[in-house]
Amino acid sequence: MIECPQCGTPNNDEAKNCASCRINLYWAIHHYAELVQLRQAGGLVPRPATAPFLLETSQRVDNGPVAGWLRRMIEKARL
Amino acid sequence: MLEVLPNIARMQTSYALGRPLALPLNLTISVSYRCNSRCKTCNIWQRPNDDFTLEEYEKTFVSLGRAPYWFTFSGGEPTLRKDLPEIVESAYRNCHPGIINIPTNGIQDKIIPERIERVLRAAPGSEVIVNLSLDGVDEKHDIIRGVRGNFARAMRTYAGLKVLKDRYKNFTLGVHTVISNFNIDEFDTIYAFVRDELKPDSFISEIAEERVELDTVGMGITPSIERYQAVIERLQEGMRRAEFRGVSRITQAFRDRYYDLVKRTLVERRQVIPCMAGVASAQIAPNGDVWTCCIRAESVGNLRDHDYNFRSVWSSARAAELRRSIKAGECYCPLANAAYTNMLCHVPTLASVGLRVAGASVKSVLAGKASDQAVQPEGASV
Repeated sequence: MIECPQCGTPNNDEAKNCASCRINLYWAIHHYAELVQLRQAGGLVPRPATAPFLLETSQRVDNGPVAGWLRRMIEKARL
Repeated sequence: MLEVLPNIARMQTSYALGRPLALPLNLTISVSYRCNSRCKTCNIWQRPNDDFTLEEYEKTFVSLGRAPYWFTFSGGEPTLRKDLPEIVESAYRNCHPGIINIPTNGIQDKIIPERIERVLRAAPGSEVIVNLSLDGVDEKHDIIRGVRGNFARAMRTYAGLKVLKDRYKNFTLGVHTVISNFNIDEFDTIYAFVRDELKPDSFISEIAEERVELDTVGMGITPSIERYQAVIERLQEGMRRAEFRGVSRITQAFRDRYYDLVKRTLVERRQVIPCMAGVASAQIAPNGDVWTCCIRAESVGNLRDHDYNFRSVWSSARAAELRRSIKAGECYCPLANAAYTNMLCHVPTLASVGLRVAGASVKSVLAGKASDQAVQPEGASV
């Protein structure tokens, strides 16, 4: 399981996006911590107020796979 | 640009009726998700590839005919496609667009200028605008774009492209910056570098936003309105101080108005002017899915399932449903590409831009500098 760096939701290993907050998990693992620092330095709360229509649309149309080579790279890194 | 004016009434009628009386005049063709950048503001490179072939584009462009005035060939990194010039040639031969716009990350400095020269040769009657992405200066750019040496390569590409300006009068070389939480503190440095060192024909900035296409939903890359407003108003001030002539005066007036729209959209979180996506503008994904826009990236049908007949996809029930949703204001965004079409189709905006351009022209004449005699210094459009 992959725990979402943003909201803590557990996601299965194959997930592209967090099932709860929709953040791209590959991106979040690499850049979320930096962005939180920048957001707080800029007077923003750590978690963005994403428009509901975007969350809903992303959930509905974008659960698709990532490029095969990227999935293999992630699995290799885990091993 | 004036030749699109007769189409505007048709677009407005289509919007009012909720069904298309014409095909879109602004079309973005995403030629591939492949990208050799690893930007902190984009995950498009993670998507699997199922790109249209040149033959599939040819059939699609035949079906579009003369409808689109403005094509954007985007990606991914569009210049990674070796057949980009042939794709553009097919669009030019079948559709005769007035404007062809191509963004590039500039990484393949030994290949891009030659590939763009072939594009310029393929579309001699269109205004070809190539925008180099620049999200920082020196190492800062490399860090944000996730590629070591990207800045140096981009600068070599820029130099290679600038040489083409002497040979191709239909070529506009621009610089494009995405303003995100990762670089907003550096924006003034970027702007000064672009204005004083690069001196491009145009400089466009776009706010980083959450898009389904880029898989950036939920990422929080958009800066706060307070910080965005501060930097963008300095840019606007710079634009207003510069002197423009002819078409540049019009495009700068629209650009200034666009930045005002972005600010209002961030604050009001609604469509500030009606969105014509799905009527006047659209996007074709690399696999042939037709979208109203890249923010929602919802397919209204796939061209492969419609024998590459754009009109057939454009008339689908799903397209009608999305048009209804957009018109009902169920979404909003500051997307630049759609915003420029929206402004063009919005009579009050058109009128105010027209008045401003006319006022500037009169002022110029009264100052003893008739607009047709005024010399725009290189880089003044920045």
